[in-house]
Amino acid sequence: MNETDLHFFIDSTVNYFEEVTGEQAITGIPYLKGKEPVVLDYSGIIGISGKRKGCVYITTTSEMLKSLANIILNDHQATIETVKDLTGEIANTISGNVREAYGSSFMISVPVVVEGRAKDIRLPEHVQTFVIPITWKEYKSFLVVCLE
Amino acid sequence: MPFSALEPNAETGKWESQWRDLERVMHYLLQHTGEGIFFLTQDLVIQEYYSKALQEILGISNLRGRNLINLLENRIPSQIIENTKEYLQLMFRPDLDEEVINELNPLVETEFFYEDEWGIWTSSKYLSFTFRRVTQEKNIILLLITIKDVTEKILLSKKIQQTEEHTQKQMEWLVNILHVEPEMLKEFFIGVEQELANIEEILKNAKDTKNPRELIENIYRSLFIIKGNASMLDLRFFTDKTNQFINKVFKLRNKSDLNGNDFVPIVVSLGDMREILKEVQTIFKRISHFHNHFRIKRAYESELLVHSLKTLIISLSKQLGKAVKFDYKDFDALSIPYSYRNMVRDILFLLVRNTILYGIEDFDQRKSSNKDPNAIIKISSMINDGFLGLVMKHDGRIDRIERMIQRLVTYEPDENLPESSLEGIQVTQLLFTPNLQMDNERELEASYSMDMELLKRKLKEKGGRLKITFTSEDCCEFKILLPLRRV
Repeated sequence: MNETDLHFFIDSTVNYFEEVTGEQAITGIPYLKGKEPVVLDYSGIIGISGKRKGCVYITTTSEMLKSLANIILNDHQATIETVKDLTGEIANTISGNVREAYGSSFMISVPVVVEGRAKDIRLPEHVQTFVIPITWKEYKSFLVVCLE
Repeated sequence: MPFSALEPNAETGKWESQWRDLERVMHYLLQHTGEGIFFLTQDLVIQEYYSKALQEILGISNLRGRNLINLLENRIPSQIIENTKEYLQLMFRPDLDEEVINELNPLVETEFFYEDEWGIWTSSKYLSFTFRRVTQEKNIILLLITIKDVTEKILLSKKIQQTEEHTQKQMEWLVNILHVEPEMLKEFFIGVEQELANIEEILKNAKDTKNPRELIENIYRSLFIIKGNASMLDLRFFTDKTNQFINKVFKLRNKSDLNGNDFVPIVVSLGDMREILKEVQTIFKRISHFHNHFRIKRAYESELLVHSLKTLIISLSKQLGKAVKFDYKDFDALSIPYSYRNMVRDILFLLVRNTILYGIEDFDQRKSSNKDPNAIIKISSMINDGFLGLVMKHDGRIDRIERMIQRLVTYEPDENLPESSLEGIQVTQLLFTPNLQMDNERELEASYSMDMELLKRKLKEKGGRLKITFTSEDCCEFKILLPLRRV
């Protein structure tokens, strides 16, 4: 994992917020993931395989997703299904960018949306995992990147 | 027995028993072969009869009537799927030679990915596909496809390749650590582990910080400790790697408007350092059983302290074109309590290193100023009135201190502190003031200031004291007192 890769994932995520809401998201100070789980209410996970293997996910709170639904869909009473769809959409945007940038020798999975904070997301153990806090409006979310 | 053309039963003239035999043989074959075997039609559909192993290899049941391309999707990269489609079309073209087309087989050794319950690829196998035409009256009616699981073979060859690639680097590291005593190396690893953990904590807890510069200073400090310890043990690869890291941190120190993105190089370097530490520790574990056969005694362990200081002096002075004599005849390493051993080592190392870097002039300078070209660094120890005393003396110049005083007066004039009134105690205070560094001579000054702050912190933690005596030309003496009863 190099700096360019990490910047790429960060930019893809941050740009999503700005493009769809017009409001910039702020990148926090990244850190290495330890053993403690980094999971909020909803997580959108994409798997990467092929030449390099790994996993990228964005995990966020239902409050943030509801606020996002309010802006994007003009939906003031977003249901669980809506917030799940939004989580998938964020992950899908990252996934699309990765597909575009890394080419067809990489396999990018369809985003999987996981609900709940109960357990950590399983990641390859032998690969360093980077956690990037992202703040949009007053809401916190984390981008977690684990790529060979 | 090799397969031969079927003939009707010679006595009855009927075919039934031969067909039954053939059916049985076919059944055994498809049940027990370890390879995936199946027939594929021109529209790429898997036929009714296929081997049991095929299901196991692909991890998919009920393959009859399934489209091969659909099965490959999401399991191998799309580029290979496209190539496979083209290849299969060519295989069904009778005008093209089979052997020639087979050269284009895109599925010779392909990594096939398996999804977990979340749809994430968590495992993979390397599969080798072979394709043979099945013809009838010169028409290609089917393709016979066999799939072999070649995972073990591929992984083994990958491992060999990786090992070869790593061997040179590991040999280099091994040679680099072999000269260091195992006990010291172990302590070094513990120290690096602590500092890296410290940096990790700094970054992890940075989310609410309003002052990223403070984080940078703290990271800088930890890196200087690692660099210092690595230099002391002459672990060049570690020193170099830490230097690269320090340079990245330094860039941030000069940057205005820091944001999270600026810390990406830092966290990536931290990840690299962690990897290196892990690898070197693995090498160390491998060789440590040899060392265990030659376990060292305490007396020898103490000698190591002097030995490592000697190594530092030799390597650093050589590197900087200086000549230094090391006098340690009054230093008794055995008198240092075990619990102070690391601290004494760190303090002496810090003082000696900084003395060579900033205090001692190079050979020619000393000669031209009518000094003995060989500078002297002397250390001694004593136990007195419940204190452990350590003294480090050198006969280098003290202009670093003078420059600091001058700078303070020039850049931060203080009406209450005229230049002429600066006395020993105030100069010492300046020595212990971090962040006095200016743009030029950045590393030199940053390092010195930071080291001194570190020393001050360490002494304070243990209730120790420091006294510095110097003249501007001849000699500087650092005296440290550590209380024995507080240990």
